[in-house]
Amino acid sequence: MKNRTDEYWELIGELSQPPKKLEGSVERARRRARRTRLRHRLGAPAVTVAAAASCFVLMVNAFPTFALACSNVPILRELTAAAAFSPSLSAAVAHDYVQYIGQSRTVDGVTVNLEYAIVDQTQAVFFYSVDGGRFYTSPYLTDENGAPLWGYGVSTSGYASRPDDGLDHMTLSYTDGHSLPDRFTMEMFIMPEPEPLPDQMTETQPDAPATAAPGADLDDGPDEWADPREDPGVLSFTFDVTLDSSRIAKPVTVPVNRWVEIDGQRILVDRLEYSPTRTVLYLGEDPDNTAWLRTLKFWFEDGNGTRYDDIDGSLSASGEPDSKSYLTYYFQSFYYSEPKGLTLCIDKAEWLEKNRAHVFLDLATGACPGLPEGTRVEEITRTGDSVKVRLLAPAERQYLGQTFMGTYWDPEGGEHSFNRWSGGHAYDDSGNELPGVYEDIFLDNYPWDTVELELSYTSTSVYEQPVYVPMTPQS
Amino acid sequence: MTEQEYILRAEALKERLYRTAALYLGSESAAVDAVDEAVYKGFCACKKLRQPEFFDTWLTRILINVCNTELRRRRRELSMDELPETAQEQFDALPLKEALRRLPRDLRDVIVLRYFTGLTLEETARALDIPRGTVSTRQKKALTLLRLELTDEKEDAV
Repeated sequence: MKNRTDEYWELIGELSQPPKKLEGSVERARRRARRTRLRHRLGAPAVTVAAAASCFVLMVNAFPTFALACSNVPILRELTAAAAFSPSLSAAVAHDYVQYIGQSRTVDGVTVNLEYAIVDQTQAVFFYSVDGGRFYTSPYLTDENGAPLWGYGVSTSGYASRPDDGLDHMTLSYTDGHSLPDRFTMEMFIMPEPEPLPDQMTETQPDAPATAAPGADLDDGPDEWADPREDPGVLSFTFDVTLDSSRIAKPVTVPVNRWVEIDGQRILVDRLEYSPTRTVLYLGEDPDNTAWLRTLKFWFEDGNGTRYDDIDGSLSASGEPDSKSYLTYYFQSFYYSEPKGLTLCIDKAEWLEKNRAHVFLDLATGACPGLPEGTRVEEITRTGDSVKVRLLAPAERQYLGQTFMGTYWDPEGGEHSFNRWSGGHAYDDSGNELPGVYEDIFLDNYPWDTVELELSYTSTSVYEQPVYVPMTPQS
Repeated sequence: MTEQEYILRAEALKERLYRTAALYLGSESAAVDAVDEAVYKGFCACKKLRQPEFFDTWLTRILINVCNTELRRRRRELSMDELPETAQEQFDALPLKEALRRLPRDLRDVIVLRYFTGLTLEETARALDIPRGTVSTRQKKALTLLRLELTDEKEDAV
């Protein structure tokens, strides 16, 4: 038998020669964390981002007169390109409905330029550029006295929709009864781009695909929220903004007031409201309906047969606290075009039956009675205390929301929230696309064998013959 | 701690982390995977580390958790029993690397951190969240079982 001390030194020698693969360990971690954060931040499947990028190219080519009109004004060139993804914003720029801000701040070598704003009574779109960092999280807004402003949501552009070295944009959408004051302070949060390590400057390690292999994400824990103002890794940029309220257009209201019956449910098409940045369709519902309206997909046609689609991805909806229906829908703006003889054309709707909102999933067998028709549990993977559930849903659910609401319950009555969710096209083992979409939900730190889930919808209707509703008052 | 500081500190520590993982898991590739996982978890959480002076023990602790998770997973697949402290003859018959892996877990943790990762008594106590005296006791027991006689000079050399 060898002397133990000699063995020890041999072992130390052996371990002191780590494999070459260890060299990239820290860089791999950094890239993985960045991908995870980006996925959470974008919150949209890669196909949506790709669609936004395609849309940008389409719109640049679809509005040559608008591009020409702005091309002689150098300061607007960047803005023209940045707004090109949206017909509404493009029209606003073409009509000079823009407020110039022109402020710049530099912190620790990172510069943020807040350039322009397009503001109406429903939302404000800010255009900005960042040199040396990237958008981190929603800005804080305070009034002249330092009191926080409330009643707005923020969405931001992804990198895919931004022209090279151009302007990013972020949209502040106000909820009912709120608007921006003339003067306010905006504190933006930017994460500086880390400098590459000297020994990794030449490394060319490709990023992983946007859609990771099944199961690859199971151990990727969610990023925990931290107040950006207390986060030493995040830089803060403060802008004092003054808006010209005399240049904020009043919305144009088109009353409709028509009741329609869809899938046995009565829906009121109340009115349209045109603002420079978007059109708002207001609906109502009969309280005796047996189902909540969860999603409505539609387009408009005018009297000349011109079709207006959701080509910029602006179709979205909001709800009210006392209903699970979504009854306010946002569409591209008709403010400058005001098309005549508009008809609302509905081709898809999702409903949530009021009396069957909850289902129970057996995590051992996958049994889950009560799922919406055509949806099934495809796979359940447990790693430690984390569980991934893969659902396969019919193809018509593509681009629609999650199957379940954000809260779930364990058998002991404990309430939990989903932190992670992903979805996309489904493929078989040979890589062939399946006729459906998959949806992965993650139950983190969940040792139980059953889970109670709340459905977000119970049925999807696709109308081969669309439901047509004239956008004129019922006589 | 900022991400840039974390990257620099993790770069400096990664070889020691590898030694630790290799002794826990026994194979090069499993050890690199464990280091990757621990460094990733640390990266995501580094902004919450308010006392950078404890960085080494903090990240080592994350790594040990990763290794123990992997060992628990393996135990379900194949039998990898620890030997009891009374099995002196069996320890004597095993090569050091194997004997280390068959040590009772609490003794193995101490010996790996003290003599292969290079942590001090204080740091080992902090990494394992046990009193300093307990580290000393377990260290003596483990060295006796392994029949290792290491001096302070050798400890410092790691």
